[in-house]
Amino acid sequence: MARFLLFVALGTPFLTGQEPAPTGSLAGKVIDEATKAGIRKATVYVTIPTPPRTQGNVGQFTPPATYTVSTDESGAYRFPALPPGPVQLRTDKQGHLFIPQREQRGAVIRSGEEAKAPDLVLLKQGVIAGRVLDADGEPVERITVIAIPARRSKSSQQWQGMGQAATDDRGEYRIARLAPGTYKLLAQRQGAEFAFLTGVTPGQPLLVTAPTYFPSVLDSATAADVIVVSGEEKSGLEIRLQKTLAVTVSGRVSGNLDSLAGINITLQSAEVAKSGSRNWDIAAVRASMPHYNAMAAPDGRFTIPNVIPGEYLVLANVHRAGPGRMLGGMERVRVGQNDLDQLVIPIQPMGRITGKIVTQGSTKLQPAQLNISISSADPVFRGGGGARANEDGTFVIENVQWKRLKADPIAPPGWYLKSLAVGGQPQPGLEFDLSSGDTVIELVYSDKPGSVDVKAEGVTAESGPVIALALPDGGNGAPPLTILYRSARVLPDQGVSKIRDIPPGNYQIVVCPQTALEVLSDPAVWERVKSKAVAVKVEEGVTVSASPRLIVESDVEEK
Amino acid sequence: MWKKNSLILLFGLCAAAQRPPNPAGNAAAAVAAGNASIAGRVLDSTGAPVRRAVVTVEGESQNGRRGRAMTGDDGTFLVPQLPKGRYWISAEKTGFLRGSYRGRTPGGYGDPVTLGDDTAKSGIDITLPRQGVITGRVLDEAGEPAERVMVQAIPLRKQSTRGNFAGSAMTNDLGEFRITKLAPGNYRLLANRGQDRGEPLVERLPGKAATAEAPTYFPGALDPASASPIKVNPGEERTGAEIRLQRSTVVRVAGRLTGEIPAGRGTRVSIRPTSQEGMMRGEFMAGGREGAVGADGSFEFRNIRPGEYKLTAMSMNREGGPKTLGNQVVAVGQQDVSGVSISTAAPPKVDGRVRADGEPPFSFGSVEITLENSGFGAPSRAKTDANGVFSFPAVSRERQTVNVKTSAGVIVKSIYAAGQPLPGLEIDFSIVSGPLEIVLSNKPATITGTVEGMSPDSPRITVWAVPDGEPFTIANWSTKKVRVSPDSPTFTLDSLRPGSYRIAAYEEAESDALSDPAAWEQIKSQVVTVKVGEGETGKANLKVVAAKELEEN
Repeated sequence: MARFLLFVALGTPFLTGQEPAPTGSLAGKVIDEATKAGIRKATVYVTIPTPPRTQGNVGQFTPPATYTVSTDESGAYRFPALPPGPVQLRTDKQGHLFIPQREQRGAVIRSGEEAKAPDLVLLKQGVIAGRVLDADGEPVERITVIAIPARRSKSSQQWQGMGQAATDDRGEYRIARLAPGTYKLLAQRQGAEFAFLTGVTPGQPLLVTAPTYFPSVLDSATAADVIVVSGEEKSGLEIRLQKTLAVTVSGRVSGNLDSLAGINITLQSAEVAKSGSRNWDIAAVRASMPHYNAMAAPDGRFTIPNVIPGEYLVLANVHRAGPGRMLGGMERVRVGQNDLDQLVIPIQPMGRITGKIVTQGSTKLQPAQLNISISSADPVFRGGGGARANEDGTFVIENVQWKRLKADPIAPPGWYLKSLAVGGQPQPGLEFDLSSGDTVIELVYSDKPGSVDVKAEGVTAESGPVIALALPDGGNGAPPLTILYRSARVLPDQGVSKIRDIPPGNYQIVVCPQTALEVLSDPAVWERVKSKAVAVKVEEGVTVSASPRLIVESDVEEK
Repeated sequence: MWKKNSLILLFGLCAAAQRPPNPAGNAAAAVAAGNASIAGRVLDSTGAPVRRAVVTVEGESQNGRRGRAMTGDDGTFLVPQLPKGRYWISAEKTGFLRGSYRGRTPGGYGDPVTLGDDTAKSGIDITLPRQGVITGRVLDEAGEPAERVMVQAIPLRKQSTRGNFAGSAMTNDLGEFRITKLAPGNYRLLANRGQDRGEPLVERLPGKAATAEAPTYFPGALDPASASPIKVNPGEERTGAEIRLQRSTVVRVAGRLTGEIPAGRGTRVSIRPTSQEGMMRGEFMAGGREGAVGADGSFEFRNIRPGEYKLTAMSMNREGGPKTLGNQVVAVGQQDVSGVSISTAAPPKVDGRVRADGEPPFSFGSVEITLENSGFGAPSRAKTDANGVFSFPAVSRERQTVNVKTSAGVIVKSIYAAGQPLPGLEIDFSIVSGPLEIVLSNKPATITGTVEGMSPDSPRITVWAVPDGEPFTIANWSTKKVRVSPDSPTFTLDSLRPGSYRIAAYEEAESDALSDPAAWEQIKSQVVTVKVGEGETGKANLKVVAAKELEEN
């Protein structure tokens, strides 16, 4: 039997020679996702919660204790002596990815017994490597290459994330730890090119590196797919950067101020505004594109050189000493192939929301428990702000820049945000407009949300981690909204769950793996799975029942 | 259509995309530019043109003009619209070391170029040497590739201006690393795996001492003396450097503060390696480990590797920054260390007086005294009043250097602490607390001389004078320097404290090469030692030390 090495981090009074405490053991296996074979030399980490402070710890931060062993040739591991109680498990091995599957990351140690840990699953990583050359064929350093998932991976159990790497002095990059799937590669410079230029000779157009997709295209639609299979290393992927014309954007900030100096102007790609959901979206990646910054002169004028054409949000803000008010302005601008001047950004004091909490119900609610959060309802300008309620239920949110807002429906357990009034006028939903001066709102919380008892059909012990979701109905057969939802875990052997704290309304009740949630808003996917969902009407204080059928990966995949 | 041979011409101030340029910068850009220009070429060491090199032209003062241009296919550049003044020109490109106009070393500034209102200076050629590279991989104890390990290349020769390492890189998933932009020289590689919260994962087997993965030198040594240096020749790529991470024992270090402990939660103890290299390892990268002190004055540190450490007790809640209450050097071996005792006391108030020693007595105006230590916190400053009296309200109880800022022609003749003369400018305030007496003299020493062997073609050189027995650091106030140009090869070093000085004339204006005592040893035949007394003038005739002579063997 292979020898195990037991590693212990700082802060475990457990092994410092005190009386032997009761222990239990833990055994398990680490397996390969594809072959189900055991993986040798994987490191398994068991983390137990922070032990209570003892005399010996003189004020030093005590991290949770972590124990580690390595797996043997068959992929098996054993921790011979662990303190009783719940523990968290995770595993790692060079060249592999760990698939986090919630329920399976824990175990409970019992004194004098050997607990059997669920199998920990590793997936062999995929690697994409290659080189980036400029338009003249020379290698380019410090270019970020991003591998963006182009399509949902076949199995919704696999989490396919982005990976990225920077090119070295030879122009070479290596993106490791990729889940299998199809990717598109985007190469872009972090930071504006020739950022140190503040003047360009007139008559000489400036060409800068454009964000370019593999192999050498500007448009993501024509970008080549790169398919990576578990354990595969795809190398030699050469990206040839394209150039694009860069122009100068100039203008002025206008406002009722003595001096406009020090106002910070930011040009931010508006592509991010297009991607509204949490889905992987190539456009969302453009949010990581270079931002441009400039500072206004005392007369409010500013110049931003070397801007790549595209859609931008222009944001101006400055913090003025005084009653803590920030001033801001925002405009949307399209930068074309020519210099853009005469841009005017009006700037005005940011808004302020004052408000009060009103509760409906017999339960006591501590206002200090409440986090008030408002978000921009403007599809273009994103953002939000928040505050904690005071003891008396009042709150103030400063520096609100957006004109159309919505109150985020968060509430403590057992409560839901029922309605909103602005300036005394009840609003039909949770959206409202910012007024000049103070916007006075009232948020009404009720202690009678609805709930749904779910009995999921088709859930067995082998199903893996599954959740029940109450998704707001999209109406008219449209896919449900996956941004505002309530969920609860489904107990594997019985398939039951209770979803609580649901604001009244129409919902689709769905049972599926956690990772499938993101794709449900895709109309094509919804078409395939909607027969397994159950539509319910949730009312205040009422519990309804639903028996949806479990949605599995094969339902989600394209046929 | 964008022509390949065109140059990108620009004039302006540096502005990174992620940060707004400073307002002064923008305002300056609006000011009328000048009419002078600088043109030249960037070449590699074979004389071939280097295209797309970034050339930087920097003016003299803090807010001096700066221009940047990029060379075209033929390696030429032009920076126009410069107002008159002096400019230093340097060039950079991926794959090369930095070069400057008539500079001899990568860090050097080279010689400046003087422009009049309409000067069109041409022929400014800059050579870029090819970079050196070290590549390799890091394996853990089990022979598996080690990911996310930071590998640093530490030059054998000490550097005082550019930090302790010349380059670094992080290993990828294969454990591979690539360190670029290395100047020729000898390097030790140090591999260090970062841990969560700076705490190493400790292995504890029954019946054995606790061990943890330790920062390891190439090829697999825990001790810098056993590290194998890697020699990088100009432009060379050294490959295959394999580092096998080692483990070291870790022990517990505990003790107690004795003496006066100021009340309150602001007392802490820190542990830091005493050696410079020790500082670069592992959890000490951030400057040391700190722990709180218990109500009974006890403290404890876990997982400390063997070595020599300085434990410092500090009071954090102090005006003027943290102050040392006391310290203790501890040698940590393979066993736990307990019972370390740090004798502490409140930071003392130190009074002092400055007086003039001279016949006839002279007045010296307001004098600023600074106490600097190599540990924590900002230097303490005090100014003399009309009677020459000064006071420091709370002084860190540790070794500090006394720096006195006087007017020209006035030097510090001697310093007394509690009536005893100090051998140099350092006082250990954990032993002595004053009163201080600083004696000034208006008869400084002077050293004059000539530099032989300069031709009209020679770059300007720098003459350095270091007090004997003191280390050469730029930060050292006692180190003096003066520039000498070929058309006037004489020099004068004035306002010197009486004493003995080592003097050398070095070709490169930038002096990192002289930070290492080994460098002085290498050129000792060209170093002149001069002893001067109060009011005396000494003479030194020097030969120029070329940058080549300081190259490592």
